[in-house]
Amino acid sequence: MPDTAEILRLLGESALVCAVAALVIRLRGVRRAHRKESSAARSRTRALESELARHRAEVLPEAVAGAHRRAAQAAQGLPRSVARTVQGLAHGQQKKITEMLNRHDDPDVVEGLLVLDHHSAQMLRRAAGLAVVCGSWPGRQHDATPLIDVVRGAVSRIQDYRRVRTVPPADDRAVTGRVVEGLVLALAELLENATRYSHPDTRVQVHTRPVPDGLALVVEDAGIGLDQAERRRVEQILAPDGPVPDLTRVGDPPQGGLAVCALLARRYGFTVHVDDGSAFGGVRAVVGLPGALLTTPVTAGDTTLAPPAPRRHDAGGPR
Amino acid sequence: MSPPRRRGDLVRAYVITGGRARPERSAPVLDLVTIVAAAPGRSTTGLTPEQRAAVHLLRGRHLAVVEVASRLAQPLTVTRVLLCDLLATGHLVTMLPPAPLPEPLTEVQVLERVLHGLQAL
Repeated sequence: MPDTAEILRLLGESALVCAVAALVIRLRGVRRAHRKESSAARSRTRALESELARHRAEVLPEAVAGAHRRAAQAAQGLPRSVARTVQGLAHGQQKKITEMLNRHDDPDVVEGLLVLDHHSAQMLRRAAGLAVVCGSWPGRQHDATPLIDVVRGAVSRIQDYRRVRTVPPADDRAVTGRVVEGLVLALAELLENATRYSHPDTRVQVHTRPVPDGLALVVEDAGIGLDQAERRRVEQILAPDGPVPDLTRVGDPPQGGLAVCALLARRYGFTVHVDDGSAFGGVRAVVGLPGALLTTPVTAGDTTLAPPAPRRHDAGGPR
Repeated sequence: MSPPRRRGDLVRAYVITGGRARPERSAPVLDLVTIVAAAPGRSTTGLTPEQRAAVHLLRGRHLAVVEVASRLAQPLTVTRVLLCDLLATGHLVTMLPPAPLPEPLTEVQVLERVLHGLQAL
């Protein structure tokens, strides 16, 4: 007969076993619950991550682009209005100079007027370029204009105009009036770059070349060309499907000229391509004009002949 | 037919003359009424549109400098530079001004007539 102490010991042991067993069972339950919970947590994390990725991919860029658009719009209001004002003033100045050129016969006076006119033309180009980068379009209207006059109109607006050699185009088609000002501006920016980034003793040549649909205006300089980084940047700015250049994307130092070209090309439907293919070892810029932007010549030969203009020269000589 | 365009708007005068307001020193002096005409048989290839227009205008026609300026719708100084360049390349020639009206008898002729009259007495 086991004594009471023995019974108590056995009871104690079995209680312990029971407790341990209960503990193990409980522990298993906890572990199971924990496993369940952590897998739920994992799937929650995964959901959050994918949500975040979606945000990063869609919502964030949209928000950034929106903020960028708003910032650009806010930033370009003032320069656009200044550009417009300067354009108006330079226009008025040019008109006055033209009037004076027609009235004065003294070479000293005329020499000064030619310099002033040249400065006004450059002011106009810079202001028009700034207006374009700030989202407005050239307002000047022209009739359909022969290619050679479009080229020389562009030459008129750059600093080093004497260095440009224009090969008279064999093609006698004219550029449609709607496109003339935009094309002149874009070409002027390309000519300015060509003359600025090549030696002052060298020439810059412009010639036209027929292409399957329309023709190409080719500007070639004898400068040092583009390095790889420059070429990448130029391609990026001019890419027809790239981001639209605006005031915040012209860089520092600003690459404004090419941004102006890119915007005008998109707007008027011509193309601009810049590479190292110049026949003179430097940069070659090619403006592609589709046939739709060309029209029949105004009138061959004597387009320059205006009817006699009595208001012009005073037989009385210089005043 | 489109109306005549105002060329001056786009192509500026300094581009037409290369920035010059006066002809080369060696060039003949052209005043307002100097008569110019195109030299026969010269091709206009390689000329600028304004130079070509001047040569076309003066083919078979004699015009005073001031008339050329007006017909080309260019300032007089610009026209002078243009014409002097064309004279230098031989595309144009200057003509003598139109023959003057019969002048009143000069003194020598009067004296000769008096002499003939006296001899006849």
